[in-house]
Amino acid sequence: MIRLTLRWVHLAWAVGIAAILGFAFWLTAPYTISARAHHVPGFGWVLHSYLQNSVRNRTLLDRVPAHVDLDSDALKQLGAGHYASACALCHGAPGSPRNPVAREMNPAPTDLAHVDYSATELHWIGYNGFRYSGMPAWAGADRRDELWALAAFLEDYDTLDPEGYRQLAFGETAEQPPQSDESEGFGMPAGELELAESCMRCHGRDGQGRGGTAPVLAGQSQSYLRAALDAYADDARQSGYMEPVAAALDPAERDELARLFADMDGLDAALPEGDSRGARLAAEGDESHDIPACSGCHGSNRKEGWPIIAGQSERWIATWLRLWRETPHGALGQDDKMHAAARHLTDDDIEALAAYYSGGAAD
Amino acid sequence: MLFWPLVIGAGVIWTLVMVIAAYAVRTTPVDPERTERLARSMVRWGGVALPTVVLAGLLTFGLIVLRDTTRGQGETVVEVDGEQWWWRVTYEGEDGPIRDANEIHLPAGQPVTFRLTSDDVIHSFWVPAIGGKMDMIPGRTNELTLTPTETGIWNGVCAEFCGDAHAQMLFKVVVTDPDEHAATLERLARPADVADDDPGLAVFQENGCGACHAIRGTPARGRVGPDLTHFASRTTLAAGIREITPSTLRRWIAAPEAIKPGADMPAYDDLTEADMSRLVDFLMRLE
Repeated sequence: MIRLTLRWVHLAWAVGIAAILGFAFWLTAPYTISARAHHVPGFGWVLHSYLQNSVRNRTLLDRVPAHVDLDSDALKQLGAGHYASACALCHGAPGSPRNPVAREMNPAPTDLAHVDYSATELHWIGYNGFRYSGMPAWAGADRRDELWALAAFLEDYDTLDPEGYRQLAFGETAEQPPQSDESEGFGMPAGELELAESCMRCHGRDGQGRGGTAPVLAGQSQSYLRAALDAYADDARQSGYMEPVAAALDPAERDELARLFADMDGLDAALPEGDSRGARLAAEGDESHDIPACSGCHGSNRKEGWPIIAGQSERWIATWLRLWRETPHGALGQDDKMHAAARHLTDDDIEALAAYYSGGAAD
Repeated sequence: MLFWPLVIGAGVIWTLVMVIAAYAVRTTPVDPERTERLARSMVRWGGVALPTVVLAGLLTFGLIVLRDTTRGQGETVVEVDGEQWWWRVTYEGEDGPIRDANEIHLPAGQPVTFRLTSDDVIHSFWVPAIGGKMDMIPGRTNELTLTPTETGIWNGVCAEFCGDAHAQMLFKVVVTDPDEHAATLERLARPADVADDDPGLAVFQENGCGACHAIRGTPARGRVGPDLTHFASRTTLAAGIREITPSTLRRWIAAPEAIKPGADMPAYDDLTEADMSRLVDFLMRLE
């Protein structure tokens, strides 16, 4: 009988040989990374099912927040609008197949009509992206709230026909291309109107935000709009929707767009009369809960460049108050003030303020 | 009232202990059984019976004395509300409440009842020179009646750990003779002497200071932070931790966190130099 005695020296030899082989593999790179090559049979399945398990397990405890209504048009339109400008190039869209370039990616971007992810899974994927694939993470750091709009849109994706998709993603701008006499109305050369059109897909031709799809811009302070575009472009205000858009604008274009929307009729509408929780918080704050009065900064005596809230969309007032309640961020240099103002608000307070300032019903 | 009885009692007990200790050191035990018996009876009488009787008597006496501080109704009532980390002070004025902060004016020789509340965490109201100490508990109104006897400015503190800036939650008690006190209250009740077009008031308003601070007689009517109507007549800034001078005020407005960690007031470090000067000048005029 052969006796095999394993000694430390054998182990050292094994490790040394493995290291040399590993180095040789790394140096000669026999396994191709060419995107033309296909996986060995079965390996693709392992990777893809691992990805699906990974998404499923990481969203086991996720729930759609109570304030998110996945059936709302506003969310679907915002999701579709962003999809059209950021996702469709690779994933294709109803009526327009994937770009030939994207089809040569390996792994190829998924045709989203043929996937079966839940809303929470779509939300997770949109925020995190996929490593080792072309799928990027969300551009707005800590803006998980933004992804519910994409999830709302993608849940319906397989039921959309090309026309329905165009209506969602392009709104009024889908129906008629800009005409020269309209462009004169805006006081802008026709060439630049195209630029404004891309804003109007979500913010509406009238700057009213397409029913909560995007914030109301019409009548907002021009210097505030300009500062917001700068902050998005400089990564000083996080948003996966606005950062890519703003970063592509040069200073002259930002000026022009800020002026265009500021000159429209919109914000600073009369606020509802009557004694509601929202009205009281706005006018006086709440001493016992350390909530300052909103009107102290956003009232008629507000500083140049500070935003007008009266007439803003209910959904967006609530969205930003929830963000500021959690962290001081993205308030264009006034982060600490907005966090101090919002940190003691309850969910009910936020709803009451959003209803009041959007001109909705007093409760 | 308890001072002399306690001093005498402590003196007697101390002398007794010293005498027994001296005896124990000098004596030589001869009969171990007798020593054991003696030691047991020492513990029984000196260690159990005596403290029980003395402490029970003191407790009874103390409770009787304390009853006056919690039941007695002073002629003056002052509401003091503990906040993280400052004191909201409200006097009963003839024409409604008079709001102030971080400084309490009292008439000498008259019992005063403090109504103590808190709407965040437990604080404790303590003015050592006047006596008494009482917790301020959220959801409760605790009453404490004290009689300041000497005129002067006395220090008050929060005596219950209440968060980051607990140690910077101080206040002043200003005790004056009753006539002067009446004049002080009358002055505090008046609105601020500010013109509508005061450039400092414009800076105050457009930067949103009025969202948290009230200045009676102006549109500023925030209630979250201290009432600033007579800010400059106070002796201290930021609840007893700095003198009020233009330079400390300027530093406070630009970076409250640097003076008081965790302070709720956000930094106004984005004011232009001109606006800051106008604002500081304006606040320093709120006598």
